[in-house]
Amino acid sequence: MVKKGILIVMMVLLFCGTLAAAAQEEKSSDVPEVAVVVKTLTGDVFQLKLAESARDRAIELGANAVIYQAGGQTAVQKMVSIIEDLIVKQVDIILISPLDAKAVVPAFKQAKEAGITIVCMDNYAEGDDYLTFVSTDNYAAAAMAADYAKEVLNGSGNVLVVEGAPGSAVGDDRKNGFKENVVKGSSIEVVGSQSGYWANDKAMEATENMLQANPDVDLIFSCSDVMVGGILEAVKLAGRENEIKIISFDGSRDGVQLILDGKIIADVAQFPTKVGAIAAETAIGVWNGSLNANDVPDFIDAGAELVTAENAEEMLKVAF
Amino acid sequence: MNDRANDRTSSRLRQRLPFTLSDAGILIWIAAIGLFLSLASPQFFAKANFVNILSQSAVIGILSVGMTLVIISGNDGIDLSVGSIVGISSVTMALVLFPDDAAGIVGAADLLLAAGIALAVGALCGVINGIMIAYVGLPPFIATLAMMTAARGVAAFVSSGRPTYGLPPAIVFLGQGRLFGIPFPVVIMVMLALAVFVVLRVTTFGMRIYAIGGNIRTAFLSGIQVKKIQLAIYTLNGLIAGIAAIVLSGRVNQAHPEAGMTYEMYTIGAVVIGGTSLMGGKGGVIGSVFGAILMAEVQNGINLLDIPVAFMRPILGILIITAVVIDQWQKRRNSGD
Amino acid sequence: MHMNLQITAVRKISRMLGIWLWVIVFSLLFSLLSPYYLSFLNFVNIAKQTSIFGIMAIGMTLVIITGGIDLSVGSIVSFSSAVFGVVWASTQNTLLSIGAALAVGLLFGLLNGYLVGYVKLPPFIATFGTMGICAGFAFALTTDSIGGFTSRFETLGNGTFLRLPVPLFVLIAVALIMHYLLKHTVLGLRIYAVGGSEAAAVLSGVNQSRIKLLVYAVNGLLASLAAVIICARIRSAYPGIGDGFELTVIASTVIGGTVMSGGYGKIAFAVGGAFFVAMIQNIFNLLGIYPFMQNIILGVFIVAAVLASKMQEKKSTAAGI
Repeated sequence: MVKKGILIVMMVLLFCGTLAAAAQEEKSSDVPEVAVVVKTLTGDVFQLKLAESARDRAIELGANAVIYQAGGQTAVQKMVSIIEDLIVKQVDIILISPLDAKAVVPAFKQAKEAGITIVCMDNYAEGDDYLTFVSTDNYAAAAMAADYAKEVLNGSGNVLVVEGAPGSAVGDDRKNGFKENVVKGSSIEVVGSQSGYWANDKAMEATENMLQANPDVDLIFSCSDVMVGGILEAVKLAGRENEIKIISFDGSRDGVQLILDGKIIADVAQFPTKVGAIAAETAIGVWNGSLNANDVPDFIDAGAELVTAENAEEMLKVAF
Repeated sequence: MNDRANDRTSSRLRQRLPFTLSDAGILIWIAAIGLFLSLASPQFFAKANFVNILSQSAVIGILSVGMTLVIISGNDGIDLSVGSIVGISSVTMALVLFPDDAAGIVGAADLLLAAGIALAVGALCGVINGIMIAYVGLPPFIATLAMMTAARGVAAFVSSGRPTYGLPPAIVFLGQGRLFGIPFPVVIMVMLALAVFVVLRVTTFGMRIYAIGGNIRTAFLSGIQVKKIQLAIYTLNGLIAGIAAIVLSGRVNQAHPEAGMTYEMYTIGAVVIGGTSLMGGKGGVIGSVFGAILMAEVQNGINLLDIPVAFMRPILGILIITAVVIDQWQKRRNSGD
Repeated sequence: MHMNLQITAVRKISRMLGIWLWVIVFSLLFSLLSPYYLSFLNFVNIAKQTSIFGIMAIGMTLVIITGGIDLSVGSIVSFSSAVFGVVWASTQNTLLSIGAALAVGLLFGLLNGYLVGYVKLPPFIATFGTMGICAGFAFALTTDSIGGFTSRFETLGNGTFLRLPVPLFVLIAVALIMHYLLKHTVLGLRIYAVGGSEAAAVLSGVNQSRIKLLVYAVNGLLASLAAVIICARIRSAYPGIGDGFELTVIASTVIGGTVMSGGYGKIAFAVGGAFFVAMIQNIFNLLGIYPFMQNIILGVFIVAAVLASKMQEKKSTAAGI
């Protein structure tokens, strides 16, 4: 009994020791506390870089910054709980990539009432309880891809689209930006469009099956670099590498490398490090009074750039 | 009394046949759905498409072989951690291959080492599962749920969250290559299934798995070292998840910390559709592999027919319930109930 | 002799408190780790987060006591949310939307109960099937979240009464009703009997099928009740909201000492299990533990907590009860 008791006490202490050791920062009162909240850090390099750059820029500016993740593409409930806990923790700034535009609104309201400055990154939220929204203009960026597709296909051909997860606003903007503009003023037809769920293996299966259904395909648009690997494997396995061109979205290191390797023809580059840094700068600027909150626009475009074989070499240096 | 005697003779008879009645049943299902899809979509009935379906079923098929052992061994046996084990094995392999985060040329020795370590990591997770279940006495659902959570965390930690793209050609061959026109993953799935099939039917180890699943107390009283067998089963299942990890990584040419996410559910689905009873003591690996093929066929049909993806899971759910209901109905009729 | 008496007393208290003992022990330790942990505001926070999983854990406890399991609760939450949103969008009627959401839970609960009780499917299979059905239907109904609910409805999720969160009162009400049902009615005895020894239950004339039908129906209904509260909490309906909830709920229930093979379980401990899980997540956030570490620690913790409650039980049986 006594032995068991000692064992339990030791286990409990060990656990708490681990927690204390694993805690990310020390607190001090005269610098802003910044919480960076993203969907997930695993397998999503965009979100990872976004989170890291926001945190790093905040620390450069003298703040304390810690990263939190909801842990999944549908973990809305967990994200709301994180915001609630951050209110208790009395952080000053939340830089967040919301999982859903509506679901975070009540939590945002509570946070604002507690005097917390919120900036949305990459995904927007409804309501006006946050300072600003920093992101790539996904619709316009996908339209750039559509224009390039029209150019290389000489205005006619069959294209497939591999979409993001159903319900994702970002995914829908890219899908619509591409689909609506690629048919505009051309005789190009979108013959298939299915979800790859932002996942390689799912994208591969969707592509394999769409290729099976469509013997004549000239170009595939992938709504993200996280799916393009699977799409490439599917095209390769179908033995149609020579007839099908691929355009992807994101401009990650892997994506740009694929252009240099001649596997894909273009990639729409967005700049997560810029998004994160701008978000941190804006929020901290308002916090310390160097920026007037009324002067901050509702939307800050972090920009996008079309990467092709011409500029891939230099884009690789800045790619995430 | 009579019923029970009947049941025993028929199950003895079934054990001698290479395929059980449920296996035949699921083949009929595969054929029926195939017939429907051939009529509904002109692209379905083609050799290339069949190859598609088979390769898409391979990873779940491989996983279902191990899961079948776990489920046959009964006593609430289940392994929720296989999906996470696929993830952790996949990224550890990449870490061994490219320790400095840059893909490059890899020697044969490194390659063997990496594959070996992927398998070892899988087996290690299995050992931990087995110890927690057999020796500590945790319910399998809880033990493997904890492993599912923890292994996913370690996978993220090991890879810093980053996927590795561009694996060595040998590993890509395991996932994409062909042997006499048959995709290599399918070859692996079939070989593995046959090997485990033989183990289950011929060796004492196999018979003991059925015995434990049938009645653990009787098995214990008849001198079977129940705990050791359980440990072995979960270890083997982890090892097989390691194999699946290598195949999946090769197939998508990428090692991903979230590889295998939710695969445990599809795997359990395949096993159950394949006629293995969750009560334990009954079932076989051949049916499970057919179960995996059936699920891939349905997924393929959904894609070909352009059915909204949201209906994939409902169709699968209805399929599973119907399959088990029909199976039970058949058994009841066979035993003259 | 004196020593023995003391030990018996300790055992008795430990058994009486169950998981709540660990809630208290860890709360004290956490308050040393974070100055924010032991505050009223944080208690309100944890209570809010506990309410949802607590309500679901109560239903799950009933199911597990009968020796079953319900994998579909997470998906029922998703589908109920989606139905709530769609009905609201077309009628703008809060009560009607709540009714429709609860009807979904009840309906799929009844389906589960019918499949388990009457068709005699293994609970794992039946609820695995309905899990897929509900998850898919939720996204088939709407892929986007639906918002615009009234602020009065939001009170159900975010409002306070006597400075305590409203969902906490819902949880307490559900817990009291279910506790009474289990401990002080014939029906409760029968529920335990079904899980304790099904054969004995048959012999004593208990209609197992009907009891299973009832238990799964209640579980489905409670899942949709949780869904309504979540809809109020996020003031929108999100079709993927319940993804993976079933695992958290089952873990909470088992951490609360409910035995997975059936026949044993307590409502108050199930709620304690949910509280325990919520407070672990809470301390992760208050301390800012790096996300990858959280999963690893959480995995270890599930094992440790289930072991601890197992040990407490063992002690009590060893004491000859």
